[in-house]
Amino acid sequence: MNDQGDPIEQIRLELRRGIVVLAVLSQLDSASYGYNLVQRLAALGLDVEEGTLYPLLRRLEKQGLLKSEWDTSDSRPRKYYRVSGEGQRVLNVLRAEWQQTVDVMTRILKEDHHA
Amino acid sequence: MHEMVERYVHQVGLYVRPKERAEIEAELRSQIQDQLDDRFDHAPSTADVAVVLKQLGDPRTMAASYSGDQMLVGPELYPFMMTVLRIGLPLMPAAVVIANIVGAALSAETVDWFGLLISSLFTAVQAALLFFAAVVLIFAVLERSGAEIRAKAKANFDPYALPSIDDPSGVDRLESGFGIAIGTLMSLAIVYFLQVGGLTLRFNPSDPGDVLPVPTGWLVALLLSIVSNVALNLWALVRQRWTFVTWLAQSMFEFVGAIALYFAIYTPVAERIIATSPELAERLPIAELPWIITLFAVLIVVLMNGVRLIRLWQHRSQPYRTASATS
Repeated sequence: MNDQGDPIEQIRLELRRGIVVLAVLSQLDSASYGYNLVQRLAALGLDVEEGTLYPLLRRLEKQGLLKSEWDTSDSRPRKYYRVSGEGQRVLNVLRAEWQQTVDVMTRILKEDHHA
Repeated sequence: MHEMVERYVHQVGLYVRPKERAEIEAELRSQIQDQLDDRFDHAPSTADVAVVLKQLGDPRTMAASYSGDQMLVGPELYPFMMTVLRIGLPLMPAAVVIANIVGAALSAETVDWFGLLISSLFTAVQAALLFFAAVVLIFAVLERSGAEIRAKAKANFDPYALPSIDDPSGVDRLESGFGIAIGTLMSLAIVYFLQVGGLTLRFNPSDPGDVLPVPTGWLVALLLSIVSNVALNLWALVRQRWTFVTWLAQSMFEFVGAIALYFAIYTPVAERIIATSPELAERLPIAELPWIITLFAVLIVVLMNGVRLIRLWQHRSQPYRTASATS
């Protein structure tokens, strides 16, 4: 399967890239570990592959948007993520941006539909 | 921790930045275990683990996701290219400068040392740039030509086929990088020798200095054996694996290279030393040195490569695919 040869798949991937970041930030106001977050997003209707989410969590942490903590109280260590102060600020900006984008795109697609 | 998980994590670790490797491996190990714990009430079987790893995808794709954006040379090959450059870039200018200085010191002509130093530095920079360009070009071509093979391998990713951590068929980054770097350096030098018609320590195409004629046929044989070795190392990088046959072929090329070195380099150099410095030849076994060095090199090739060849043969008769049969 050649993804580069399938424009729909390519565009879908590009659209999802930003959405997943927003979704992840929005769900991490309380601490959560990777797979738990996958399940929570899936329960809300957004399927994110683990292979996409785990590196993303690390990237957002490096950007300072998430903070993490290893919980070593259990038999094995588990890493929990939570949105940082900077992440919360970015989330608020992106949320407003997203709402605006949705409004604009709804109008655009509606016009396109009538054309 | 399930052994298949460890193998998967190890493979991902091979392709991420070395300074992040330990942390990424710890995170990934924990995340996979979380998934296994949450998805299965019972202790996960090998088949359960295989399902989870299959969903995570090919380790190289996973590692690439940790590495960020694509480049001229993608994240799968980038670490290998950097290893080659880190080894070769300091060596190339140093070798050129040292060769030029030694060549001038051995020359009977009066030497303008300041002029030699300036021209050596200039040639060294040129050589380093040439080496850099050659390595980047090789890896860029590899990136494009190998993309289809790697995409096919990723699509057919099978957790049961993950190599064991001490797998002898695994490609060692340092080993391959060193092989490619030295091979590229030597190839460039031999092409230069062919251009100027023999051996010289002055790397300046417009003024090669005193050129020692050598058998062109053996010089070409040496070049072919080195280029073939570089090609085999690149082949192994693309497929992420040495096989018994490719390692045997590499050993044969190294053997041929060692013999070609005897005729193309060692013997002509020894004969020149005997002719120009008979007193040195009386004190040292210069005439015997070519075959002593060659014998030593052949022994090293046979011993070092032979051990791995045996391990690869044994590994071939004990495939790790048995895991799927036991689950």
